[in-house]
Amino acid sequence: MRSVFLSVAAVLLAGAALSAHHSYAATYDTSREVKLEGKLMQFVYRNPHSFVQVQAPDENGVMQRWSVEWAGTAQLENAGVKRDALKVGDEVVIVGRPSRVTGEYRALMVSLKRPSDGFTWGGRTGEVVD
Amino acid sequence: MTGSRGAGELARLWTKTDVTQRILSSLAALAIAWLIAGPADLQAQRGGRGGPPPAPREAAAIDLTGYWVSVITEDWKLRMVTPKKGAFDALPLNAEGRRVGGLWDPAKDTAAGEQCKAYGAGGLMRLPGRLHITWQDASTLKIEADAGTQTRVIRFGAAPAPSGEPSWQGQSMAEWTYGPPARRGGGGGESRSGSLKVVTNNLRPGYVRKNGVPYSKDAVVTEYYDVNVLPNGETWFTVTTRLDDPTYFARPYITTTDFKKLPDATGWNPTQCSAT
Amino acid sequence: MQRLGSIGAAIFWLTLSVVVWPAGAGAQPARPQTPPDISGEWRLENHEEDTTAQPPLGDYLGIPFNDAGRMRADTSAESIWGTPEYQCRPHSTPHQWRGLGGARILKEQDPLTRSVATYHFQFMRSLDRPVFMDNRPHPPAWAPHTWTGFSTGEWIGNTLKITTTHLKDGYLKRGGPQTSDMYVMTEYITRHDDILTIVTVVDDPIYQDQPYVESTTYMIDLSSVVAMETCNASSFAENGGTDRHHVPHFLPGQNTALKDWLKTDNWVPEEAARGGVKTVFPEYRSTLNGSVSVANLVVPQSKSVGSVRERIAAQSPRDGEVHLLPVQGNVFMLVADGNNVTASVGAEGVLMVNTGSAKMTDKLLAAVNQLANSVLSAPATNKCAGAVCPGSWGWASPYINNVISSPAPPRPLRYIINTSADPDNIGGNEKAATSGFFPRGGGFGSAVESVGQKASIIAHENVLNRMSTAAAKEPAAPAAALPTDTYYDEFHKLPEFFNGEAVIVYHAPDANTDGDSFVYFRHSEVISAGNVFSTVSYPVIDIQKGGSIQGVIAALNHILDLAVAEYRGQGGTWVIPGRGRLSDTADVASYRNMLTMIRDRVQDLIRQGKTVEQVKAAKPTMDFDGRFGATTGPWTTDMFVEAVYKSLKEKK
Repeated sequence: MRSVFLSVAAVLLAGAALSAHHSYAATYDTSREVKLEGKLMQFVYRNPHSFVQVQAPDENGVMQRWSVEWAGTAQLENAGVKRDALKVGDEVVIVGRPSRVTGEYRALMVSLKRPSDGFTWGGRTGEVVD
Repeated sequence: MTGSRGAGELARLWTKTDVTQRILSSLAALAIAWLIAGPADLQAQRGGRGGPPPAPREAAAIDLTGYWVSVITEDWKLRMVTPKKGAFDALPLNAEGRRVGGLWDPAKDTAAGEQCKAYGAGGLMRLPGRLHITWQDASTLKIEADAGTQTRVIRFGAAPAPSGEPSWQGQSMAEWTYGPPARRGGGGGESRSGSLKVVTNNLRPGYVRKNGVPYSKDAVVTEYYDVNVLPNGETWFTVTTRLDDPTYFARPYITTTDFKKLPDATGWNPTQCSAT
Repeated sequence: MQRLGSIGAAIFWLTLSVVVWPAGAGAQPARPQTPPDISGEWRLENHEEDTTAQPPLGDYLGIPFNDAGRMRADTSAESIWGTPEYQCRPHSTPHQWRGLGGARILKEQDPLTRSVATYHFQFMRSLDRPVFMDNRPHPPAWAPHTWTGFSTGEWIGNTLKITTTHLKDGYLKRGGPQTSDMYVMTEYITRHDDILTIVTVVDDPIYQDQPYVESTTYMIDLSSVVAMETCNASSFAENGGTDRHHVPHFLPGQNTALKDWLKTDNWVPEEAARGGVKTVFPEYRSTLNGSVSVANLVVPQSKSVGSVRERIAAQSPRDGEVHLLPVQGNVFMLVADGNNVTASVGAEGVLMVNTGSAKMTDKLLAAVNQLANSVLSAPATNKCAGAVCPGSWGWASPYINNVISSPAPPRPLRYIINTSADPDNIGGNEKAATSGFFPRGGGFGSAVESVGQKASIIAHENVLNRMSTAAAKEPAAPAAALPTDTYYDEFHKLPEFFNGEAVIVYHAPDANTDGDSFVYFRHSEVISAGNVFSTVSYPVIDIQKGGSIQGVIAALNHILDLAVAEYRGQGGTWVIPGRGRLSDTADVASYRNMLTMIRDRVQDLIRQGKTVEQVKAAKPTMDFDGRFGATTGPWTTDMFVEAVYKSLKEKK
């Protein structure tokens, strides 16, 4: 399992996608990305935000339990992601925006891939956390 | 009485002029007394039995006179300083409003002598500054603003059709809205109650913000003024402003603006209009 | 002819009275006799920036912040929402009018008079906020604070004025700005046609230099329905990691995002973005060209109401009196000259957690006795007749006297639990224990009078060790005051239910001292926290007696692990602090969060090689000093910072 912690100086994003009424920019550093490769430990399918928890190494290679904030159930359903779409134990690759708080293992979902069957989320129209 | 005899008696009673006359005279006397006395409310507003209704100054629901200072705690970046062109935060503009707002050219406004566009009745109260409110006469309230040295004249009475040339401050008609009297033992010592409602039209096209967000000549500005005494003893007023202008706005534009009463004119700082 | 003339005149006047009078009334409307109706479904309809989006980090424009307010905002992290204690908290009361989802105002009527007894305000992410219209007094300062506070209202003409106290600390706005828990909010609500104008005044002298006045508008919306934002929080931390006690925050100066928004809103002066009372008046404009500095501005600043220091102190009044607050189940809180004593009162007798200071013992015991009598032995009206009434043998006259005039006395004080050896916790031990009774030794104990004749005193063995040894300023305690039952490991359970529930004494190792405990009443759902938790001061940490900041934080975390909120982070397990108001998980979490932040700040300064004097000079507690600090008295801010420094240096 590998993770690569990327620092990108400026990431061009559709700002409107992340502003919303509840500001993600306040919680997450929207100018950086973190890549997590590891095992899915939990998929909390709920409103207002679903979460996945992934066991993946941090930038020092120490295994951590990451909590990745995702969309609400309606948005996920519209994208074909139902409650049973992911299973504990799935190997996944997640790209996210890291928390602004140093040392916090929290991110905002940008994309999720399950290499075993090609399942992906993120990148298609509507697949940006509202 | 038998039928025919009863009818006869009734006919005789009706034709007795003194009875009929007495009844009608009594009713007339009552009517005259009623006209003089009137209902209790009307009495109160007349200030006494039989007098004309009190002038708006005497019938004021709230006291807005004095010096007031705006306290900019909201929309600071849009009011205390001039925002950049195109900053339309929170505005319910329609496409035309955005288009025209995007054409703002302060140099052009100044050259055309229109540097007071943001100081009209559609935007004046949002600008930082002081107000001096007085009674020009018993039926006319005057609001002087040190920002842009503007004066608004607020007349009481039924709103007439717009007359005269449109102006920055337009034509304002006001009415008091009364609240219930203070309850016994309650109300924190307040004896007045109510609000001031002001409707303004006949405006020259102006700006609701200094960065050129427009309102048209057809804009109607409706304001509600409330006076509140805060727990620290200070008197404030809040003006709720609703601007209706389908030319540039998709729906009514509503804001609330707060002013604190001052003891005197300290800080009064007349400044000329500026397009920036 | 004459008759016709008279009749005509009469008809003329009659007609005149009907036609002329309404016209003669003029343009002045009649004064209504009742206030306007503000009930209904309302939607937010206001076009000012704050109501459409969350302000960006670092945007304090228009907030009359003082330095403490700025620091508190700068160091607050948005992901605090992800901690278990705050995941379900509703919007703060000041923010509520600006949140999504509309508002519903309901009227609750007095069934006899049909007057409005209470208004209820509801929002999407909220608790029901009742506004009492019956002139009832606000609760005492030691009563709990809630998310929505305690509100009373009065009509002033056509404006409803609402005064709200007893509010928890929270956020003034999203994105950083916070309030303390000592603010008072006043609202003025006026209806104009279909518009509701709401003026809010937040008076928080801890973080603001003057009351903060805002206003907004709602419109009546017949089709609106205020939805319920459900909260599904589990104890799983949204912030990841494996430390359920992780507290997100920024070290001072480390929140690098505070100015990002100024790149877009580049016309905003950076200094003004920091807020401050001098930026909210028109005078500020004279600084824009640089000719006048903000510091030199003279502005018509407003004053706060009352003394916040007095409000803080009122939670723990040093007034020589005993005040009683019922808590939950069997448990009561007694505030004895500022020290909190917990009492469990029930059919088996009384248990006290701590006995207060020595000078208050007589009053305290009298209060406990009165409480026990009123709970267990109060005379009552007779509700039974006949030979089968409970407690009667034969006919009812002994029963009647038992019920109406002479009930059986309550059982005595059985247990005292001391959470520490602090004189304010053990001062009444001797008298209280002597007044009580604990059966021990059975019939064989009769040869020794003192055995089995007084209440049992339970404490950690370090409390006994300290009490029985004379120290520099404290003589050894008298024998009758000493704990009789001690424990030395993680916890001590009373061997049996007491008053119908389990009572467990948990050790708080190396907290304020090496002998601290807190007590959990498991069915009443009350925790008596002792000195580990206070709502009036920083924790008093005695390094010489083995105390440490790490121990205090660990004890608070332990309390949070045991406690469960009733609903949306409020109520449920109640926590009685050593001093201060009755609290719940959110209050303990707030205190724990503060201490964690302070610990981290001091740790960071130590890492930078700072001496204790340098650490004090850096003011690592500045944003909390107004609320918990002191410059004089037995426990000052400097003493606290020094204790934190020493405990971290010793790496306990």
